[in-house]
Amino acid sequence: MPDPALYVQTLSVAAAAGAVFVLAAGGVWRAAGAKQTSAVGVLGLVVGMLAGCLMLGLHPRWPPASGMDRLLLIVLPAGILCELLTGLPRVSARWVWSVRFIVAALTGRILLHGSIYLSGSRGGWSLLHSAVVFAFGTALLVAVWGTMVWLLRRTAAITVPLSLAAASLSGGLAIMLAGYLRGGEASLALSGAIVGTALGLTVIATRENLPGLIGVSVIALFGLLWIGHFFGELTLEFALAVFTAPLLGCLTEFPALRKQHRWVIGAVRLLLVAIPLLAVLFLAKRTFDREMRPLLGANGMSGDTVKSGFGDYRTPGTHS
Amino acid sequence: MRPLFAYCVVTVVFMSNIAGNAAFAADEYTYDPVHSSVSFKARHLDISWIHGRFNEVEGKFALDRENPAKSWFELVIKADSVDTANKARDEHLRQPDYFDTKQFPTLEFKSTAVKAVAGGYEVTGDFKMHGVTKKVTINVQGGKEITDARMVKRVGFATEFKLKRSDFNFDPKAIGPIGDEAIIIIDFEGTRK
Repeated sequence: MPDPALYVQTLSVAAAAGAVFVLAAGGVWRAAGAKQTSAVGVLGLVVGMLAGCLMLGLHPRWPPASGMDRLLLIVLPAGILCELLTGLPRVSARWVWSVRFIVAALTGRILLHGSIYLSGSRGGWSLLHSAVVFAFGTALLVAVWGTMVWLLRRTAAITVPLSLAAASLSGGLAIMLAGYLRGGEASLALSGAIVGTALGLTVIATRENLPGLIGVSVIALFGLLWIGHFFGELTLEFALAVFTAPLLGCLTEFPALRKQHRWVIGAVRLLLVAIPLLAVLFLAKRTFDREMRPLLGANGMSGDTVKSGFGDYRTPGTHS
Repeated sequence: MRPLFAYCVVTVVFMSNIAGNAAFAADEYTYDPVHSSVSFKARHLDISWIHGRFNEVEGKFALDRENPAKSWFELVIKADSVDTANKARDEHLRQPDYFDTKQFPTLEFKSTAVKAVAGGYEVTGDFKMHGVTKKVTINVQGGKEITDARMVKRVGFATEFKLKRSDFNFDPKAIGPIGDEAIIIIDFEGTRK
Protein backbone atom coordinates (compact mmCIF):
# COMPACT_ATOMS: atom_id res chain seq x y z
CA MET A 1 0.00 0.00 0.00
CA PRO A 2 1.18 3.58 -0.63
CA ASP A 3 3.06 5.07 2.30
CA PRO A 4 3.51 8.87 1.87
CA ALA A 5 5.70 9.13 4.97
CA LEU A 6 8.08 6.51 3.55
CA TYR A 7 8.16 8.36 0.23
CA VAL A 8 9.18 11.63 1.87
CA GLN A 9 11.86 9.76 3.82
CA THR A 10 13.08 8.10 0.62
CA LEU A 11 13.39 11.42 -1.20
CA SER A 12 15.26 12.92 1.75
CA VAL A 13 17.59 9.96 2.28
CA ALA A 14 18.42 9.66 -1.43
CA ALA A 15 19.12 13.40 -1.67
CA ALA A 16 21.20 13.45 1.49
CA ALA A 17 23.23 10.37 0.49
CA GLY A 18 24.00 11.82 -2.94
CA ALA A 19 24.95 15.21 -1.54
CA VAL A 20 27.12 13.84 1.27
CA PHE A 21 29.02 11.53 -1.11
CA VAL A 22 29.66 14.35 -3.56
CA LEU A 23 30.81 16.76 -0.86
CA ALA A 24 33.10 14.15 0.70
CA ALA A 25 34.58 12.60 -2.44
CA GLY A 26 34.37 15.68 -4.63
CA GLY A 27 36.38 17.71 -2.17
CA VAL A 28 39.24 15.26 -2.65
CA TRP A 29 39.06 15.53 -6.44
CA ARG A 30 38.24 19.18 -6.66
CA ALA A 31 41.66 20.17 -7.79
CA ALA A 32 41.86 17.31 -10.28
CA GLY A 33 39.79 18.96 -12.99
CA ALA A 34 36.41 18.76 -14.65
CA LYS A 35 36.44 15.16 -15.90
CA GLN A 36 37.13 13.66 -12.49
CA THR A 37 34.42 15.72 -10.86
CA SER A 38 32.00 14.50 -13.53
CA ALA A 39 32.74 10.96 -12.30
CA VAL A 40 31.98 12.10 -8.76
CA GLY A 41 28.56 13.26 -9.97
CA VAL A 42 27.85 9.87 -11.53
CA LEU A 43 28.88 8.00 -8.40
CA GLY A 44 26.96 10.43 -6.19
CA LEU A 45 23.82 9.59 -8.13
CA VAL A 46 24.53 5.88 -7.69
CA VAL A 47 24.98 6.27 -3.93
CA GLY A 48 21.81 8.34 -3.68
CA MET A 49 19.78 5.81 -5.64
CA LEU A 50 21.16 2.90 -3.63
CA ALA A 51 20.22 4.65 -0.40
CA GLY A 52 16.74 5.40 -1.74
CA CYS A 53 16.17 1.83 -2.92
CA LEU A 54 17.35 0.42 0.41
CA MET A 55 14.93 2.74 2.17
CA LEU A 56 12.12 1.38 -0.01
CA GLY A 57 13.17 -2.24 0.43
CA LEU A 58 13.61 -2.49 -3.33
CA HIS A 59 15.90 -5.50 -3.86
CA PRO A 60 16.46 -6.64 -7.46
CA ARG A 61 16.88 -10.38 -8.06
CA TRP A 62 19.79 -12.11 -9.74
CA PRO A 63 19.44 -13.42 -12.36
CA PRO A 64 17.17 -10.54 -13.33
CA ALA A 65 13.66 -11.78 -14.06
CA SER A 66 11.56 -8.61 -14.29
CA GLY A 67 11.88 -5.31 -16.09
CA MET A 68 12.82 -3.55 -12.85
CA ASP A 69 15.55 -6.13 -12.14
CA ARG A 70 17.03 -5.58 -15.58
CA LEU A 71 16.88 -1.80 -15.19
CA LEU A 72 18.66 -1.81 -11.83
CA LEU A 73 21.16 -4.58 -12.56
CA ILE A 74 21.97 -4.17 -16.26
CA VAL A 75 20.78 -0.93 -17.85
CA LEU A 76 21.74 1.49 -15.08
CA PRO A 77 25.19 -0.06 -14.54
CA ALA A 78 25.73 0.13 -18.31
CA GLY A 79 24.77 3.80 -18.27
CA ILE A 80 27.02 4.46 -15.28
CA LEU A 81 29.96 2.72 -16.94
CA CYS A 82 29.28 4.63 -20.15
CA GLU A 83 29.36 7.99 -18.39
CA LEU A 84 32.45 7.08 -16.35
CA LEU A 85 34.32 6.00 -19.49
CA THR A 86 33.23 8.97 -21.54
CA GLY A 87 34.24 11.26 -18.67
CA LEU A 88 37.88 10.13 -18.87
CA PRO A 89 40.45 12.68 -20.10
CA ARG A 90 41.17 13.00 -23.82
CA VAL A 91 38.12 11.01 -24.93
CA SER A 92 36.89 12.31 -28.27
CA ALA A 93 33.31 13.48 -28.73
CA ARG A 94 32.82 10.88 -31.50
CA TRP A 95 33.80 8.06 -29.13
CA VAL A 96 31.61 9.54 -26.37
CA TRP A 97 28.50 9.62 -28.51
CA SER A 98 29.18 6.23 -30.11
CA VAL A 99 29.18 4.59 -26.70
CA ARG A 100 26.13 6.55 -25.62
CA PHE A 101 24.29 5.53 -28.78
CA ILE A 102 25.05 1.85 -28.16
CA VAL A 103 23.70 2.09 -24.60
CA ALA A 104 20.60 3.92 -25.86
CA ALA A 105 20.02 1.36 -28.62
CA LEU A 106 20.21 -1.60 -26.23
CA THR A 107 18.20 -0.13 -23.34
CA GLY A 108 14.69 -0.74 -24.67
CA ARG A 109 15.52 -4.25 -25.91
CA ILE A 110 17.12 -5.30 -22.63
CA LEU A 111 14.21 -4.03 -20.56
CA LEU A 112 11.70 -6.02 -22.62
CA HIS A 113 13.73 -9.22 -22.66
CA GLY A 114 11.67 -12.35 -22.02
CA SER A 115 8.38 -10.45 -22.13
CA ILE A 116 5.33 -11.37 -24.18
CA TYR A 117 6.18 -8.59 -26.63
CA LEU A 118 9.24 -10.47 -27.86
CA SER A 119 8.01 -14.01 -27.33
CA GLY A 120 6.93 -14.58 -30.92
CA SER A 121 3.64 -16.01 -29.66
CA ARG A 122 0.10 -14.68 -30.05
CA GLY A 123 0.06 -11.19 -28.60
CA GLY A 124 3.76 -10.69 -29.36
CA TRP A 125 5.21 -8.24 -31.82
CA SER A 126 6.26 -8.98 -35.35
CA LEU A 127 9.87 -8.34 -36.28
CA LEU A 128 8.90 -5.10 -38.04
CA HIS A 129 6.87 -3.90 -35.06
CA SER A 130 9.78 -4.61 -32.71
CA ALA A 131 12.19 -2.77 -35.00
CA VAL A 132 9.94 0.29 -35.17
CA VAL A 133 9.40 0.41 -31.40
CA PHE A 134 13.10 0.02 -30.57
CA ALA A 135 14.16 2.50 -33.27
CA PHE A 136 11.69 5.06 -31.94
CA GLY A 137 12.80 4.45 -28.34
CA THR A 138 16.46 4.78 -29.26
CA ALA A 139 15.87 7.98 -31.25
CA LEU A 140 13.86 9.51 -28.43
CA LEU A 141 16.42 8.62 -25.78
CA VAL A 142 19.34 9.92 -27.84
CA ALA A 143 17.43 13.11 -28.72
CA VAL A 144 16.55 13.94 -25.11
CA TRP A 145 20.01 12.93 -23.87
CA GLY A 146 21.78 15.02 -26.48
CA THR A 147 19.52 18.02 -25.95
CA MET A 148 19.96 17.99 -22.19
CA VAL A 149 23.76 17.77 -22.53
CA TRP A 150 23.66 20.61 -25.06
CA LEU A 151 21.51 22.73 -22.76
CA LEU A 152 23.81 22.04 -19.84
CA ARG A 153 26.85 23.13 -21.85
CA ARG A 154 25.15 26.38 -22.77
CA THR A 155 23.79 27.24 -19.34
CA ALA A 156 25.81 25.23 -16.78
CA ALA A 157 22.75 25.67 -14.59
CA ILE A 158 21.55 23.46 -11.75
CA THR A 159 18.01 23.84 -13.08
CA VAL A 160 18.85 21.39 -15.88
CA PRO A 161 19.30 18.38 -13.57
CA LEU A 162 16.52 19.73 -11.34
CA SER A 163 14.12 19.58 -14.30
CA LEU A 164 15.06 15.90 -14.70
CA ALA A 165 14.42 15.40 -10.99
CA ALA A 166 10.97 16.99 -11.39
CA ALA A 167 10.23 14.73 -14.37
CA SER A 168 11.28 11.67 -12.34
CA LEU A 169 9.03 12.70 -9.46
CA SER A 170 6.07 13.36 -11.73
CA GLY A 171 6.68 10.20 -13.73
CA GLY A 172 6.95 8.16 -10.55
CA LEU A 173 3.67 9.46 -9.20
CA ALA A 174 1.96 8.86 -12.55
CA ILE A 175 3.27 5.28 -12.62
CA MET A 176 1.93 4.72 -9.10
CA LEU A 177 -1.45 6.19 -9.98
CA ALA A 178 -1.56 3.83 -12.97
CA GLY A 179 -1.22 0.92 -10.54
CA TYR A 180 2.47 0.00 -10.52
CA LEU A 181 3.54 0.97 -7.04
CA ARG A 182 7.13 -0.29 -7.04
CA GLY A 183 7.92 1.30 -10.38
CA GLY A 184 6.79 4.65 -9.10
CA GLU A 185 8.70 4.25 -5.85
CA ALA A 186 11.98 3.66 -7.73
CA SER A 187 11.41 6.98 -9.50
CA LEU A 188 11.27 8.72 -6.13
CA ALA A 189 14.71 7.34 -5.25
CA LEU A 190 16.01 8.65 -8.59
CA SER A 191 14.45 12.07 -8.09
CA GLY A 192 15.94 12.52 -4.62
CA ALA A 193 19.35 11.30 -5.75
CA ILE A 194 19.43 13.77 -8.66
CA VAL A 195 18.54 16.71 -6.43
CA GLY A 196 21.10 15.84 -3.75
CA THR A 197 23.90 15.10 -6.19
CA ALA A 198 23.25 18.24 -8.24
CA LEU A 199 23.25 20.43 -5.11
CA GLY A 200 26.46 18.80 -3.92
CA LEU A 201 28.16 19.37 -7.27
CA THR A 202 27.07 22.99 -7.26
CA VAL A 203 28.74 23.48 -3.89
CA ILE A 204 32.06 21.77 -4.65
CA ALA A 205 32.68 22.60 -8.29
CA THR A 206 31.79 24.73 -11.21
CA ARG A 207 28.52 23.74 -12.75
CA GLU A 208 30.13 22.55 -15.97
CA ASN A 209 30.76 19.20 -14.30
CA LEU A 210 27.22 17.88 -14.50
CA PRO A 211 27.14 15.96 -17.86
CA GLY A 212 27.70 12.52 -16.26
CA LEU A 213 24.86 13.12 -13.83
CA ILE A 214 22.63 14.17 -16.73
CA GLY A 215 23.42 11.07 -18.78
CA VAL A 216 22.64 8.53 -16.06
CA SER A 217 19.53 10.49 -15.00
CA VAL A 218 18.16 10.47 -18.55
CA ILE A 219 18.76 6.73 -18.95
CA ALA A 220 17.17 5.99 -15.57
CA LEU A 221 14.13 8.16 -16.30
CA PHE A 222 13.69 6.58 -19.73
CA GLY A 223 13.99 3.09 -18.27
CA LEU A 224 11.42 3.72 -15.54
CA LEU A 225 8.91 5.24 -17.97
CA TRP A 226 9.56 2.41 -20.46
CA ILE A 227 8.77 -0.33 -17.95
CA GLY A 228 5.94 1.77 -16.49
CA HIS A 229 4.35 1.79 -19.94
CA PHE A 230 5.10 -1.71 -21.19
CA PHE A 231 4.68 -3.63 -17.94
CA GLY A 232 2.44 -1.25 -15.99
CA GLU A 233 -0.48 0.79 -17.20
CA LEU A 234 1.21 4.15 -17.77
CA THR A 235 -0.21 5.50 -21.02
CA LEU A 236 2.11 6.30 -23.91
CA GLU A 237 0.95 9.93 -23.89
CA PHE A 238 1.84 10.40 -20.22
CA ALA A 239 5.20 8.65 -20.65
CA LEU A 240 6.13 10.82 -23.64
CA ALA A 241 4.94 14.02 -21.93
CA VAL A 242 7.01 13.32 -18.81
CA PHE A 243 10.15 12.27 -20.71
CA THR A 244 10.14 15.25 -23.07
CA ALA A 245 9.03 17.89 -20.53
CA PRO A 246 12.65 18.78 -19.57
CA LEU A 247 13.24 19.75 -23.22
CA LEU A 248 11.02 22.78 -22.64
CA GLY A 249 13.91 24.21 -20.66
CA CYS A 250 15.53 24.93 -24.04
CA LEU A 251 12.99 27.71 -24.61
CA THR A 252 14.95 29.84 -22.16
CA GLU A 253 17.74 29.92 -24.74
CA PHE A 254 15.73 32.30 -26.92
CA PRO A 255 17.48 35.70 -27.08
CA ALA A 256 14.67 37.53 -25.28
CA LEU A 257 15.04 35.34 -22.22
CA ARG A 258 18.80 34.80 -22.30
CA LYS A 259 19.37 38.44 -21.42
CA GLN A 260 17.56 38.07 -18.10
CA HIS A 261 19.24 37.48 -14.79
CA ARG A 262 20.20 33.81 -14.33
CA TRP A 263 17.80 33.39 -11.40
CA VAL A 264 14.93 34.54 -13.61
CA ILE A 265 16.05 32.21 -16.41
CA GLY A 266 16.26 29.33 -13.96
CA ALA A 267 12.81 30.01 -12.52
CA VAL A 268 11.25 30.29 -15.98
CA ARG A 269 12.98 27.07 -17.04
CA LEU A 270 11.57 25.15 -14.08
CA LEU A 271 8.13 26.67 -14.61
CA LEU A 272 8.07 25.68 -18.28
CA VAL A 273 9.01 22.11 -17.37
CA ALA A 274 6.52 21.97 -14.48
CA ILE A 275 3.48 22.81 -16.61
CA PRO A 276 3.22 19.54 -18.57
CA LEU A 277 4.33 17.54 -15.52
CA LEU A 278 1.51 18.96 -13.42
CA ALA A 279 -0.94 18.38 -16.26
CA VAL A 280 0.11 14.71 -16.41
CA LEU A 281 -0.35 14.37 -12.65
CA PHE A 282 -3.78 15.99 -12.78
CA LEU A 283 -4.97 13.70 -15.58
CA ALA A 284 -3.42 10.61 -13.97
CA LYS A 285 -5.19 11.38 -10.70
CA ARG A 286 -8.48 11.83 -12.53
CA THR A 287 -8.07 8.46 -14.24
CA PHE A 288 -7.14 6.86 -10.92
CA ASP A 289 -10.26 8.24 -9.21
CA ARG A 290 -12.47 6.99 -12.04
CA GLU A 291 -10.98 3.52 -12.47
CA MET A 292 -10.10 2.62 -8.90
CA ARG A 293 -13.48 3.70 -7.58
CA PRO A 294 -14.94 0.17 -7.67
CA LEU A 295 -12.13 -1.01 -5.42
CA LEU A 296 -12.96 1.45 -2.69
CA GLY A 297 -16.21 -0.12 -1.50
CA ALA A 298 -19.42 -1.90 -2.50
CA ASN A 299 -21.32 1.38 -2.67
CA GLY A 300 -18.60 3.43 -4.36
CA MET A 301 -16.32 5.82 -2.48
CA SER A 302 -15.62 5.10 1.16
CA GLY A 303 -17.65 7.33 3.45
CA ASP A 304 -20.72 7.35 1.20
CA THR A 305 -23.99 7.89 3.00
CA VAL A 306 -26.37 4.97 2.54
CA LYS A 307 -30.07 5.31 3.13
CA SER A 308 -31.70 2.38 4.83
CA GLY A 309 -34.90 1.62 6.68
CA PHE A 310 -33.01 2.17 9.92
CA GLY A 311 -31.79 5.66 9.04
CA ASP A 312 -28.76 6.94 7.22
CA TYR A 313 -25.27 5.60 7.90
CA ARG A 314 -21.84 6.13 6.39
CA THR A 315 -20.09 3.16 4.83
CA PRO A 316 -16.73 2.36 6.40
CA GLY A 317 -13.60 2.86 4.26
CA THR A 318 -12.53 -0.35 2.51
CA HIS A 319 -9.46 -1.05 0.38
CA SER A 320 -8.25 -3.83 -1.85
CA MET B 1 5.98 -77.29 -42.61
CA ARG B 2 7.73 -77.20 -39.25
CA PRO B 3 9.51 -73.86 -39.89
CA LEU B 4 6.18 -72.40 -41.00
CA PHE B 5 4.49 -73.62 -37.82
CA ALA B 6 7.29 -72.22 -35.68
CA TYR B 7 7.05 -68.93 -37.50
CA CYS B 8 3.28 -68.73 -36.81
CA VAL B 9 3.74 -69.49 -33.11
CA VAL B 10 6.41 -66.82 -32.74
CA THR B 11 4.25 -64.30 -34.59
CA VAL B 12 1.21 -65.04 -32.41
CA VAL B 13 3.24 -64.74 -29.20
CA PHE B 14 4.87 -61.54 -30.39
CA MET B 15 1.58 -59.94 -31.45
CA SER B 16 -0.16 -60.90 -28.22
CA ASN B 17 2.65 -59.24 -26.25
CA ILE B 18 2.20 -56.05 -28.23
CA ALA B 19 -1.57 -56.18 -27.78
CA GLY B 20 -1.14 -56.84 -24.07
CA ASN B 21 1.19 -53.86 -23.64
CA ALA B 22 -1.19 -51.62 -25.62
CA ALA B 23 -4.06 -52.63 -23.36
CA PHE B 24 -2.10 -51.52 -20.30
CA ALA B 25 -0.55 -48.28 -21.78
CA ALA B 26 -1.48 -44.94 -20.19
CA ASP B 27 -4.71 -43.33 -21.38
CA GLU B 28 -4.07 -39.78 -22.42
CA TYR B 29 -6.73 -37.14 -21.73
CA THR B 30 -7.11 -33.55 -22.88
CA TYR B 31 -8.17 -30.97 -20.32
CA ASP B 32 -11.82 -29.99 -20.89
CA PRO B 33 -12.07 -26.26 -20.17
CA VAL B 34 -15.86 -26.24 -20.46
CA HIS B 35 -16.29 -28.58 -17.51
CA SER B 36 -13.28 -27.51 -15.45
CA SER B 37 -12.32 -24.58 -13.31
CA VAL B 38 -9.19 -23.18 -11.71
CA SER B 39 -10.06 -20.84 -8.88
CA PHE B 40 -8.39 -19.36 -5.85
CA LYS B 41 -9.13 -17.47 -2.70
CA ALA B 42 -7.00 -15.31 -0.44
CA ARG B 43 -7.64 -13.50 2.82
CA HIS B 44 -8.60 -9.85 2.62
CA LEU B 45 -7.53 -7.78 5.65
CA ASP B 46 -7.72 -11.07 7.55
CA ILE B 47 -11.48 -10.72 7.88
CA SER B 48 -12.86 -12.35 4.74
CA TRP B 49 -11.89 -14.03 1.47
CA ILE B 50 -11.39 -12.61 -1.98
CA HIS B 51 -12.27 -15.14 -4.66
CA GLY B 52 -11.02 -15.31 -8.21
CA ARG B 53 -10.49 -17.64 -11.10
CA PHE B 54 -8.41 -18.09 -14.21
CA ASN B 55 -10.56 -18.37 -17.32
CA GLU B 56 -7.98 -19.60 -19.84
CA VAL B 57 -6.46 -22.93 -18.94
CA GLU B 58 -5.18 -25.80 -21.02
CA GLY B 59 -3.55 -29.07 -20.20
CA LYS B 60 -3.39 -32.81 -20.57
CA PHE B 61 -2.80 -35.80 -18.41
CA ALA B 62 -2.28 -39.52 -18.75
CA LEU B 63 -3.49 -42.24 -16.41
CA ASP B 64 -1.92 -45.65 -16.28
CA ARG B 65 -4.19 -47.58 -13.95
CA GLU B 66 -1.93 -50.62 -13.94
CA ASN B 67 1.18 -48.65 -13.16
CA PRO B 68 0.19 -45.28 -11.65
CA ALA B 69 3.83 -44.18 -11.50
CA LYS B 70 3.68 -43.85 -15.28
CA SER B 71 0.82 -41.35 -15.07
CA TRP B 72 1.50 -37.66 -15.54
CA PHE B 73 -0.26 -34.31 -15.38
CA GLU B 74 0.42 -30.99 -17.12
CA LEU B 75 -1.43 -27.70 -16.80
CA VAL B 76 -0.82 -24.24 -18.29
CA ILE B 77 -2.80 -21.27 -16.96
CA LYS B 78 -2.87 -17.91 -18.70
CA ALA B 79 -2.09 -15.37 -15.98
CA ASP B 80 -3.77 -12.66 -18.00
CA SER B 81 -7.12 -14.44 -17.64
CA VAL B 82 -7.33 -13.72 -13.90
CA ASP B 83 -10.90 -12.78 -13.02
CA THR B 84 -12.03 -11.55 -9.61
CA ALA B 85 -15.31 -10.09 -10.89
CA ASN B 86 -13.85 -6.59 -10.58
CA LYS B 87 -12.29 -5.07 -13.68
CA ALA B 88 -10.15 -2.52 -11.81
CA ARG B 89 -8.78 -5.17 -9.46
CA ASP B 90 -8.11 -7.57 -12.34
CA GLU B 91 -6.11 -4.84 -14.15
CA HIS B 92 -4.20 -4.23 -10.93
CA LEU B 93 -3.41 -7.93 -10.49
CA ARG B 94 -1.91 -8.10 -13.99
CA GLN B 95 0.64 -5.41 -13.14
CA PRO B 96 4.25 -5.98 -12.00
CA ASP B 97 3.32 -5.58 -8.33
CA TYR B 98 1.33 -8.82 -8.60
CA PHE B 99 1.29 -11.37 -11.43
CA ASP B 100 3.34 -9.23 -13.86
CA THR B 101 1.56 -10.94 -16.73
CA LYS B 102 3.51 -9.18 -19.48
CA GLN B 103 6.71 -10.73 -18.11
CA PHE B 104 5.31 -14.01 -16.75
CA PRO B 105 2.34 -14.82 -18.99
CA THR B 106 1.65 -18.32 -17.66
CA LEU B 107 1.42 -20.37 -14.50
CA GLU B 108 2.51 -23.93 -15.21
CA PHE B 109 2.43 -27.29 -13.50
CA LYS B 110 4.25 -30.38 -14.71
CA SER B 111 4.25 -33.57 -12.70
CA THR B 112 7.46 -35.43 -11.92
CA ALA B 113 6.08 -38.29 -9.83
CA VAL B 114 2.67 -39.85 -9.38
CA LYS B 115 1.56 -42.49 -6.94
CA ALA B 116 -1.82 -44.02 -6.20
CA VAL B 117 -3.49 -43.11 -2.91
CA ALA B 118 -6.94 -43.82 -1.52
CA GLY B 119 -9.47 -42.16 -3.81
CA GLY B 120 -7.01 -40.79 -6.34
CA TYR B 121 -3.37 -39.93 -6.81
CA GLU B 122 -0.65 -38.07 -5.01
CA VAL B 123 1.05 -35.92 -7.65
CA THR B 124 4.41 -34.27 -7.14
CA GLY B 125 5.58 -31.76 -9.70
CA ASP B 126 7.10 -28.43 -10.59
CA PHE B 127 4.82 -25.44 -10.20
CA LYS B 128 6.11 -22.35 -11.99
CA MET B 129 4.67 -18.93 -11.22
CA HIS B 130 6.10 -15.43 -11.44
CA GLY B 131 9.39 -16.76 -12.79
CA VAL B 132 9.96 -19.10 -9.83
CA THR B 133 9.66 -22.92 -9.93
CA LYS B 134 8.87 -24.82 -6.75
CA LYS B 135 8.19 -28.49 -6.04
CA VAL B 136 4.65 -29.04 -4.84
CA THR B 137 2.79 -32.19 -3.90
CA ILE B 138 -0.96 -32.27 -4.37
CA ASN B 139 -3.63 -34.84 -3.78
CA VAL B 140 -6.00 -35.25 -6.76
CA GLN B 141 -9.17 -37.07 -5.86
CA GLY B 142 -11.26 -38.88 -8.48
CA GLY B 143 -10.25 -40.77 -11.58
CA LYS B 144 -13.42 -42.65 -12.38
CA GLU B 145 -13.91 -42.88 -16.11
CA ILE B 146 -17.32 -42.76 -17.75
CA THR B 147 -18.50 -42.69 -21.35
CA ASP B 148 -20.80 -39.74 -21.97
CA ALA B 149 -23.76 -39.45 -24.34
CA ARG B 150 -21.46 -38.56 -27.23
CA MET B 151 -19.42 -41.70 -26.62
CA VAL B 152 -16.50 -39.61 -25.33
CA LYS B 153 -14.58 -41.12 -22.44
CA ARG B 154 -14.40 -38.67 -19.60
CA VAL B 155 -12.62 -38.65 -16.25
CA GLY B 156 -12.79 -36.08 -13.48
CA PHE B 157 -10.62 -34.96 -10.57
CA ALA B 158 -10.67 -32.40 -7.79
CA THR B 159 -7.77 -30.95 -5.88
CA GLU B 160 -7.07 -28.16 -3.45
CA PHE B 161 -3.71 -26.90 -2.23
CA LYS B 162 -2.09 -23.87 -0.65
CA LEU B 163 0.67 -21.62 -1.93
CA LYS B 164 2.47 -18.68 -0.41
CA ARG B 165 2.94 -15.77 -2.79
CA SER B 166 6.12 -14.77 -0.99
CA ASP B 167 7.65 -18.14 -2.01
CA PHE B 168 7.24 -17.08 -5.63
CA ASN B 169 8.93 -13.68 -5.34
CA PHE B 170 5.79 -11.64 -5.21
CA ASP B 171 6.62 -8.25 -3.77
CA PRO B 172 6.22 -8.56 0.01
CA LYS B 173 4.95 -5.00 0.20
CA ALA B 174 2.23 -5.80 -2.29
CA ILE B 175 1.07 -8.69 -0.16
CA GLY B 176 -0.30 -6.32 2.48
CA PRO B 177 -4.08 -6.33 2.73
CA ILE B 178 -4.30 -9.51 0.63
CA GLY B 179 -2.99 -12.48 2.57
CA ASP B 180 0.27 -14.14 1.59
CA GLU B 181 -1.30 -17.59 1.43
CA ALA B 182 -3.68 -18.45 -1.38
CA ILE B 183 -5.83 -21.57 -1.64
CA ILE B 184 -5.98 -22.98 -5.17
CA ILE B 185 -9.00 -25.10 -6.10
CA ILE B 186 -8.92 -27.06 -9.35
CA ASP B 187 -11.85 -29.20 -10.50
CA PHE B 188 -11.12 -30.66 -13.88
CA GLU B 189 -12.27 -33.16 -16.41
CA GLY B 190 -10.34 -34.70 -19.23
CA THR B 191 -11.60 -36.41 -22.33
CA ARG B 192 -10.29 -38.97 -24.74
CA LYS B 193 -11.78 -40.65 -27.74
